Amino acid sequence: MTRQLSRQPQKENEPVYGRIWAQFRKFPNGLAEGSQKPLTVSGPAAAALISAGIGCFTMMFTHHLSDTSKAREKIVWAIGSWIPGSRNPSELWGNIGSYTGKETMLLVGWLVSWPILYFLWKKKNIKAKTMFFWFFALFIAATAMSWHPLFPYLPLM
Amino acid sequence: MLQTQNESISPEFPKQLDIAKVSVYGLSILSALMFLFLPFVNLLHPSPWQRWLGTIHGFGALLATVVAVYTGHLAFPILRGVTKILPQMRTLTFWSTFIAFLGIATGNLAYMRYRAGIDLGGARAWLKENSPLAQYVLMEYHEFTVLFTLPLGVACTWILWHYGDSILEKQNRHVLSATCVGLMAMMFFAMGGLVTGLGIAKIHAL
Repeated sequence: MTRQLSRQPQKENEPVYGRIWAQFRKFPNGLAEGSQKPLTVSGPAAAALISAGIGCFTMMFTHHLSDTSKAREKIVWAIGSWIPGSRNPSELWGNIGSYTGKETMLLVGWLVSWPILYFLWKKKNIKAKTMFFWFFALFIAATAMSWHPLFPYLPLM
Repeated sequence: MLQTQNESISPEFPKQLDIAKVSVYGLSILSALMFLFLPFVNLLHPSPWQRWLGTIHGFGALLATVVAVYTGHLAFPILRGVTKILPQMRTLTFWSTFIAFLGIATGNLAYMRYRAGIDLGGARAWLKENSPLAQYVLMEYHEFTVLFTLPLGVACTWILWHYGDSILEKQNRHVLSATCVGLMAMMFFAMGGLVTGLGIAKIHAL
């Protein structure tokens, strides 16, 4: 005879914290249910993931441009001056500096490339190999670019 | 008198599955509370900047990491075919993205003070003078890779909602796999951000 090892969850047996957690996991309900008109091709998913990688790579590329030239750093800082704290007269408080421009370039690279790729691929099936290659290539490159081989030597120049 | 095994256990004794469930919930709640208490130790720091900005950013970052790690771990069962977790994956991916944004916003606030001059106690200038590797290896990695969690989270939330339940169908197998990898990457970058951030804070406070 086989013993039954698992049981169907019974609502009345559920402790209060279990019920709260179950409710939280489904909040907001509209999101939990998912779209009623689901997408049928893989192009839009590829566009969403690859554009995220493009945004991150754009930021790191801008970081390299900015950190290797004072003139370019000024431009990058100007691009990001819309972010609160980018410039701040208080020396005690400090400011975010050109980092805001790099953050802005992430947003620009990501949010510009996403609609472009979406419209190019919205009715296409993108191969798994293509999707994974660009996803990994962009994110690995962006991560590795955190460490520029020249950065530790820049203060000596 | 000898008792049989059945007689030695009273009928009121809870079933093993119930004990396991209560233990899992109890330990999870205690662990989460204990872990989330960690940034509040900043409130005892002698530096007023660390007391406020350190607590705010520390709590935001820790919460973002906990939720991102929980969500990232849902990627493994769904890849193994546990499809009933898909609705909670959608909501938790959304919430982890939202909290990651808050972690980034509070990070911007802390970064301001981090860049203050060395004569005013700024951490960045001090680290460059006294421990340059902390700046060039830990902080460079910290300040950029944590930002990756935002586009990754938005992309995964968008995909999980737009593909609905059809993401589980055979023809969408690679979409589901890529999304799960995206969630794992988000978890990885969130954890890396927390570890490097804690490392920097250990060397020099705000």
